[in-house]
Amino acid sequence: MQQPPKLPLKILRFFCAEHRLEEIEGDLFEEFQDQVQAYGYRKARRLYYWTVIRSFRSYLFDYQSNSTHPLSFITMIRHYLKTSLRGMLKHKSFTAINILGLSLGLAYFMILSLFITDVILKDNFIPNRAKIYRLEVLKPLDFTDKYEARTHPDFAVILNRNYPQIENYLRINALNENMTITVKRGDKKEFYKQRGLEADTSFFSFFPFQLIDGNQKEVLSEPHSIIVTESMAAKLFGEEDPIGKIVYLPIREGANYTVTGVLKDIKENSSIEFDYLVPNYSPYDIASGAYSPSANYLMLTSGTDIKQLITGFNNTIKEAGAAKRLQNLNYRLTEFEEVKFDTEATDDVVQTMSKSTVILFTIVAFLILILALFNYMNLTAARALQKGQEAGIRKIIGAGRGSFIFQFLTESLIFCTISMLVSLLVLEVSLPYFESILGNPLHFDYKSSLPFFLVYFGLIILLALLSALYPALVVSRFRFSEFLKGKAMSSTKGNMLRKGLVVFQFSISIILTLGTVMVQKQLRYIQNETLTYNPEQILIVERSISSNLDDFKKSLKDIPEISISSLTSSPPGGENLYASGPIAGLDIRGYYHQVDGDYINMLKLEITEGESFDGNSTSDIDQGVIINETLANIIRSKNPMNLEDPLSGKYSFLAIPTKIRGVVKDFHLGSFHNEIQPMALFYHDFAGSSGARVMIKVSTTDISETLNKIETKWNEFIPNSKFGVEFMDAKFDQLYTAETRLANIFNLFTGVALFISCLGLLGLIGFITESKTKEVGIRKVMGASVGQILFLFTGQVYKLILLACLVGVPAAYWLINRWLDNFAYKTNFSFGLALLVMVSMFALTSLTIIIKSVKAATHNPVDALRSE
Amino acid sequence: MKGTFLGEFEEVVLLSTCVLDKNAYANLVKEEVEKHTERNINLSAIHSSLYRLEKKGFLSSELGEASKKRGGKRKRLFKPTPYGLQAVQQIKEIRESLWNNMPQTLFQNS
Repeated sequence: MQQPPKLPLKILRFFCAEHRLEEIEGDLFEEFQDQVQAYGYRKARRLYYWTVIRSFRSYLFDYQSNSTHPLSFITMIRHYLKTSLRGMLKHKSFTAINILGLSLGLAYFMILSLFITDVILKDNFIPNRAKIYRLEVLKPLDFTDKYEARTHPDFAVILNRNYPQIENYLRINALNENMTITVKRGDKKEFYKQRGLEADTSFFSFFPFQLIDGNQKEVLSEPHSIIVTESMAAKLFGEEDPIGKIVYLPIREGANYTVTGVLKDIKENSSIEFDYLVPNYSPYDIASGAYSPSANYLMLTSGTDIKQLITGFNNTIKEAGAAKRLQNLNYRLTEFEEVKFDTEATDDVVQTMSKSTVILFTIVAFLILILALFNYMNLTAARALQKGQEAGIRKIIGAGRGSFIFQFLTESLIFCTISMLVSLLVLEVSLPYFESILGNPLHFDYKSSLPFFLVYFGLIILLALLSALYPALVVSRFRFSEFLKGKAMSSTKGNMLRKGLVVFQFSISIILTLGTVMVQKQLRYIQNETLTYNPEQILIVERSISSNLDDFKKSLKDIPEISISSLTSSPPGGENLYASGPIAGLDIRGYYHQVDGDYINMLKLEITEGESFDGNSTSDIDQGVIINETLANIIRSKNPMNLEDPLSGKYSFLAIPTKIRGVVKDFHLGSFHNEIQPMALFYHDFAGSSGARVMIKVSTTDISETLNKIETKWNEFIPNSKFGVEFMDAKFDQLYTAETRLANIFNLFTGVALFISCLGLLGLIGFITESKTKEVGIRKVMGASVGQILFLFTGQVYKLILLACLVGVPAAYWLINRWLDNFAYKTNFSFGLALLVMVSMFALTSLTIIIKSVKAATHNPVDALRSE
Repeated sequence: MKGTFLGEFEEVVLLSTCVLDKNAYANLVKEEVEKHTERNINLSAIHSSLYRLEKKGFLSSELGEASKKRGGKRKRLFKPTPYGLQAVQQIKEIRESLWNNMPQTLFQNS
């Protein structure tokens, strides 16, 4: 008699349930014998293999409950799945709270992670990024301690000539975004605003942006050529072929530019974004010292020793015949990959985000995740104890710690998987909203990224493991008799940890809420409270050059809605400057601004000493200058001329000895991040051809009507220049976009954190009320009122919240003060607000508790006591 | 009636078991089914159906004797339960009543 092959039989014997093995093996053996006779050994053998393979069906794995088969746990999993699902369906509100909390936490964690990943992966599409460096200088003569990213444009050329390690250079500059681009269409003119860069031809060997039309080497060789992106071409020229079209740009005295190339739209995750590109223009001689600065990027051969390279720079520049103020500088080469994090030395070309913001995001992301995780663990553990009797019976039957862990793991996995799906939905829905808050779109395409889903899945597994462990340990610690007596639910075991988790949750919520409130307070402070004027009422007309500026200003008096107007180089709300330079004898850099006679009145600035400009004199220098308190204090303390009254001397602001007419109280021209600089206001009558911005104070509700009137006057007096107007508060807002975004993000995440915490509380209260059903029943029978019973529940929670306040408020105090240190001018941490936050926290928790426990308190005690 | 639902293949297996009368075990059932349906059937499909029918309560089983032909292993003998018999009868009745109502003209032309 032929024997069937051994291997398939072994496999069958391993997998098959014990009670089925004998008959199946026998059947197979018999069939094999029949087939040997019918078809011969070889075919029978093949058929035998085939039948064994086909036998892998459910009946093969039908292990019995007393089975010792190594795979019999499959039956247990089936059992766990069934009991878990039943439990979930039975306690629907608990399940909903759990899944909602977990999926919200997960979704918002993932959103933040995606944005952080996006920042980290920024510019990864640039193949040469590791070789690119930005040249930055520190000028000791200017008395600043900040490196400047924009330097003399000849530096790069000279260095490239002298050092073989420098393969290539690129000088690049951002053009004013508000500049008006004019396109003639027939006899009509159309105006556009786009982001532009000026750059060397080497731009394309530094950055891999792709041209659709035009040759990389030639497109920027003509001085009056312009490259536009696809979308800008579509905006400006519609369907027509953009090549050869003429565009007027008001840069360098204004000129017509011919489109020589079309660029593919920048879809990559790039820190450099622009709509058009014009060739670099640098007629400045290194010997003259006067120049308009430009960002200098260098491409180094790999493996260059940066420190050693820099040491020679000063000598090389000097030998090239540099002007005196360009000698003896401190140089620094910053890696391109670091440039995007440098918010101090910016060149306006590369968009920056400070590392501390990235870190802050990371912290918030993990806080949210931890919050959600704790929530889940807490609820699950509470739930597990509630199922005490079930666990007791399991223990009696012989369930060990391992099997408890396994049971909870199954349950966690179900919860986590559902939460994962829900969170993906939340992610998808809230991403656009989040993108709009943050102000930049997400480049990372997570939907088609395998690593993203792997990480996501890994995270889910990890969460499931973590959250299963705690309840399993809590449950398995009890003896089964305790369970059966119903002691577990009211036991204090594990209570400390559970309460600790709630305290932790609410501490985080308090920190986040206080953070939100304080960020808002600081924003309000810097935007409004320190200003002596109302920026919402002041219009600023873009800088223009004309000899009619003064006439235009005078004509504005005809418009009744305008109370006052002023011509100046420097309206508040931006980094505006007339000139700056070192002041001889004082070792500081002074900042100078041109103002007319109305400037001080209009901004309601306070003259503390001396007098204001009278506005009658025409001579600029004879009027003297008005300095701010900061400068006055410096002059007083240094007193370089040893005068009895240091302010009575003449100081060479702008190289001409000038007397000081008065002192004005310090006021902000720029961002509140910066200290107020020592500044001097120069009187100017703007009678001849001069450049200025116009500030116009309007007091009316009908803004558009007034604007029309102003524009009519403008076109009458200054027809050759565009009328670009903006409210001052909008300018201020632009200065604080980073803070506004931060505030918005804080709002959103605080909302989420509070919501999750309240969900946790809701679940916990639900657990407490349920475990105290009998106690409440007895109390009611004895005559307790609804209020007393509510107090029973709230009392416990209030203690926890109070503890959370004690932890959260000092922590918030510390953190917020660190953030406020970023500002030169800041509000104080307000304990009144902290109190308010605490009170609202109590109100919120009370509301949560009442929602959940009123039912327990008003229930008929008979229902609670009847069942035993 | 959910319990009486029988798939087409299950029905054939159940009927074959009835036909074999007390001798039905997987290999014989397979032969029987193959003979009547002229189909090639894998033994595992028969196993699967038999165990499922047993679970549904149409069949009951007991272990039979071992033989040398089976490598010394015992066989599991299946027989229909009263419920199983009732089910096949019911199916037959349903079919017959349908056939009785079949319009005569339907098959004349084909």
